[in-house]
Amino acid sequence: MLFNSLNFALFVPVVFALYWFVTQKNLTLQNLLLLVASYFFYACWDYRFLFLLIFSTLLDFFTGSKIFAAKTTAGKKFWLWLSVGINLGFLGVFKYYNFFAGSFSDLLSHFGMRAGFNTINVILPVGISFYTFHGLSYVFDIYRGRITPVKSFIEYSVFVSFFPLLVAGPIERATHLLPQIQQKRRFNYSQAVNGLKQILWGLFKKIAIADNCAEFANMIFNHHEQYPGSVLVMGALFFTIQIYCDFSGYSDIALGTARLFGMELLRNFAYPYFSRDIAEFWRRWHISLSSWFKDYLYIPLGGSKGGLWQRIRNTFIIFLVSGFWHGANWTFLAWGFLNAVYFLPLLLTNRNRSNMEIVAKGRLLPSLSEFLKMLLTFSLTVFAWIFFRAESIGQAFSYIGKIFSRSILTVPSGEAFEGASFHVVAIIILSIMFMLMEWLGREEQFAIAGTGMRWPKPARWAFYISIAVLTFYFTGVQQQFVYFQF
Amino acid sequence: MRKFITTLFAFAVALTAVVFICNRNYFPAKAKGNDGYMGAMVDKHHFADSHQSPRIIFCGGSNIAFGINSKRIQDSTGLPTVNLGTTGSLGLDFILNEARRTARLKDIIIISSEYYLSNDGSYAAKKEALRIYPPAGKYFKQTPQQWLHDFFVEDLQRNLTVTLSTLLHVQRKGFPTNVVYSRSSFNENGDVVRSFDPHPSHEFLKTFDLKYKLNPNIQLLNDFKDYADKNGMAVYFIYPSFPQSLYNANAKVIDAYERDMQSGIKIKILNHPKDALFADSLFYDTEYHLVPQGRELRTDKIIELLRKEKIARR
Repeated sequence: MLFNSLNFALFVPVVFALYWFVTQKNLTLQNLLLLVASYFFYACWDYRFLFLLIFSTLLDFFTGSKIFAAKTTAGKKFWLWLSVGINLGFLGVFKYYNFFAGSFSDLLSHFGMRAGFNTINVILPVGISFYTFHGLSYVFDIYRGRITPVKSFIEYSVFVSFFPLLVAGPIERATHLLPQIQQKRRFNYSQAVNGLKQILWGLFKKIAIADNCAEFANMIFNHHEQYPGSVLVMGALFFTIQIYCDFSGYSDIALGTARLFGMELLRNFAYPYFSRDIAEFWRRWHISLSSWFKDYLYIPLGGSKGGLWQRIRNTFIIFLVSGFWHGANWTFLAWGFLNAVYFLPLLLTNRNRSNMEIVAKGRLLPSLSEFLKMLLTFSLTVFAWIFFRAESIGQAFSYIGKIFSRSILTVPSGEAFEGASFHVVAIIILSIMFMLMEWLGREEQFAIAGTGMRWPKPARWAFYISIAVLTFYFTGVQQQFVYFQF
Repeated sequence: MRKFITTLFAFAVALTAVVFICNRNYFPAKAKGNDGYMGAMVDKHHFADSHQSPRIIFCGGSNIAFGINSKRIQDSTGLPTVNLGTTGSLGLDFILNEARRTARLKDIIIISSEYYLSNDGSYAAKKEALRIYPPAGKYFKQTPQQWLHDFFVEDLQRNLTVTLSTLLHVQRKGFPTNVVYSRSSFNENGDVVRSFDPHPSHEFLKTFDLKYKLNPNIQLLNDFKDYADKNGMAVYFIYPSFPQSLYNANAKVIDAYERDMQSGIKIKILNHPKDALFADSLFYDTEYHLVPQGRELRTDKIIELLRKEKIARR
């Protein structure tokens, strides 16, 4: 059940009605409804993996209370590592086994040896990377004494499986979401309206921008050898817009949907393409994952403290793990490595926290210096996305090689887009308009959160209706959310 | 909560009203013409309606559109011959409903459906057929989901584009009329007769793969037979034209298909799959589309079958 499907558009109102009209007087019942709805939502993807989700939930619920109850540090560690081992074990089997088996076989074959590893034909359970990290944050926080285990299995299960965040995050923290699940929710008109606006904006990003950009990005990346460098640059730009609108659009729908149920989820994006350096980009891109790695990996490793080599090591570890989290492919590792290379100079010169404020706050336009910094950061990001999008490292290098050739001076012609030149122009114009909207709304939680608040109601409604009509008008081939594969 | 529900309802009504206004066809003359392949449906029905029964009506997918010379069959039988075939993507249900709508007392209907043709077909193809030939609306089924998608997306995209391009004086490309898949490629009986690309891609010979499954068409074909019996029409079935090499590669499946057909359908079958095999070189761009030379060979075979049934005299 995709967020941009009619099924979801029917599912949410039904759950909403039951939630606020039938079960609102009893918190346990309300949570039970959310759990059943979330399991139903998940089962619509593949009911077989529901058992894996329930097992993972049971495991962390059980080990969480065992960690808390353990009298000795050794006992706590035992239960912690049991949870971590089993959770990462599942992730390893479903997500990484084939990669390691294949890579090891390739390595041995270089030395003239043959390995008897068979790849396994498994489907990656939807959302496994996300709900595994939910569970891990819970046990880590109990181990560190930040929280105490919850007594109600239903409450804990809702924390892990709440349907808006189940398949692609945001990766929630027990300290943030569990208290909201444990307390009685009251319907809040402003929160719900804000939620609907965020859903509308998320759908616009996904359907009108991301899916259309995906069409051209796929065409160019899949047949990159046929295109001149200038078109390949356009392909990389299309993918850059696609991945942002796809994932942040998903996050907007998730956050907006949660608001309809009186819950606030962690913010996942904060206008990353307006960042002035890579460090700022990583504070604004997939925030829930970046902060997860920071809290549970980077800081325990020593973070930015310690000697030079330790800081370099930690930087590379966190970016490589982050890349690998996205998928079992060398391309993701290369993407992570490249970002580490971008980040390192900032860290070593202690400039990684120099751009903490919103760019050009309170002003319409950025200064020239800010603009150039944003342009440079954006260009570096576009370049890194080529590795992320490519099917293999070889393809990425071939793609980049062609960009840095004379053909980059070729003016892209309509023929490059197989007769869809009008469409491609329309999508470029739409994308530019979208980026302008994002720029104007960059001080808000999402771009249209504050738009038209002082306008008369008909004008405001006309604005929202225009976004909805544009979304319908630009509906193309429905594409899977990119982050569902992770 | 009441305020929220009321506001949401009002917004939904306003949005629906705006979409309704935007998805109207204000410039019908500027709308994409009916010159495409499916446009031939109108001519086929016109030809059928302008001739009296008894007639011979061929129906099926594109194996029929590309695979018979109706004029020669007409000459040999002395009966007006209509080729109703356009594309299998309409689905067998739609195709047979077209035949029901066209056929009258004493007509002879010859069905040739492609192997394991889908009963339901493609919604997009059926919708395009409906747009071009509105009487098809009687047997065009739409789920609520499809209706919503059409209202909010399909109709909006098509008609708003026409409206905007007309108002903004943007020139849009018309439908190409000089290609095989266009209305002008059909003769008055409904056969595709345009000269083909001399070097078509034969990629389909590498990619075609037939898998055995329970034949979904039998029930529909038997229902049609009952309908024809009740209304005084004769019905026959012939197997579709098919390339020799693909038959060799899929012989087991096609033999099983034939066994299921023989034991399942009540319609008289006039030939065997092997009788409808032709050299690979006689196919155009798919496993069912014969080139003109192949079409003549198949027509010879069909006339021979009709002669055996005492339908053809010459």
